[in-house]
Amino acid sequence: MKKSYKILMIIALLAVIGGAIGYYMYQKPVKNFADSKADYTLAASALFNEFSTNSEEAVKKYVTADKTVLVDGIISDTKKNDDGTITIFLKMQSDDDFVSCTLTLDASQKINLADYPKGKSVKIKGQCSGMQELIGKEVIMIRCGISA
Amino acid sequence: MKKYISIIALLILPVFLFSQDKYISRNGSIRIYSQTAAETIDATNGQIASAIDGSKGTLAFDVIIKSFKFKKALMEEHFNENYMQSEKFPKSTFKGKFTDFDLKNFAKNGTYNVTVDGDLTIHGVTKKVTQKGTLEVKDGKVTAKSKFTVKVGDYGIEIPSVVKDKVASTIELQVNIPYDKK
Repeated sequence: MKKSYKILMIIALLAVIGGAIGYYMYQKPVKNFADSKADYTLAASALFNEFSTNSEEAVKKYVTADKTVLVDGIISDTKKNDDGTITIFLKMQSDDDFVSCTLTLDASQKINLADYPKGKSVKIKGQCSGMQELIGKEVIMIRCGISA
Repeated sequence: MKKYISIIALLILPVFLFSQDKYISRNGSIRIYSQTAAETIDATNGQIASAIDGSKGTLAFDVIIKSFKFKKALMEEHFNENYMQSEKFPKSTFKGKFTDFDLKNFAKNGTYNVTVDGDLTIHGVTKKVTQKGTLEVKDGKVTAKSKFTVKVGDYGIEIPSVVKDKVASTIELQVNIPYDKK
């Protein structure tokens, strides 16, 4: 009698722990890329070249693996989006090509656009989501923060 | 006489501006939304690339699947790995034409109803679709808006029966694209 009671208690306890872990996993927010340690640090143009020469490999390496990527480059343009976020476009060899970095709303509200003029060099950390090829080529970084 | 010519030139100028120029956007947004009693799915992609060619009356979209931002990590993971298979199919595309496109209609400020016909590719499956939307023209700025539903089964996306009560079989898409003149 006592033994079966014990087993029942253990099962109940496991169920509660399991449920708590499940609930935690389920509610877990998306990784904070802007504040994570960078998995890759490279020039924006180098990242662009990897996508440009073999986008399949680059998607596997950076995108699917959810790596935190830190790029540095020269600002060619900045844009304020409808949702309040800011996108910083980094200059590539061709004027039609960019690495675009969209900051989190939090990071967007912290900066003054006047401090990010054309030609300034900048380091940005975030999540690389892929490359669009409809208008020139654009490697896209989202959930970004300015990295010192 | 000279005066008349310049007046006529001014009148037809907007038509030519639209017809000759391409309109592009790299920061359009698409929000996907589905609601069942058990679960609300809500994600936004603010990095939609789109182009309108005024002279041909064509419209195109390039949508990077991984740019859809969810709040919950698990939901984003399932969206990418189980449903959209974003490693295999990193983007969705649309290529189409305005069916009732008359350049003169877009010379003046206003909101115009438009219909678009074309090929929508999601999850590697291409379907012919016809969608309605609006084009807002304001002082040379053009914004496209549309709201429609997509049946996920049409694009070979299977929803396992265990999550049928959480994931709806149709997903609503809210499209909002602000264009710049190229």
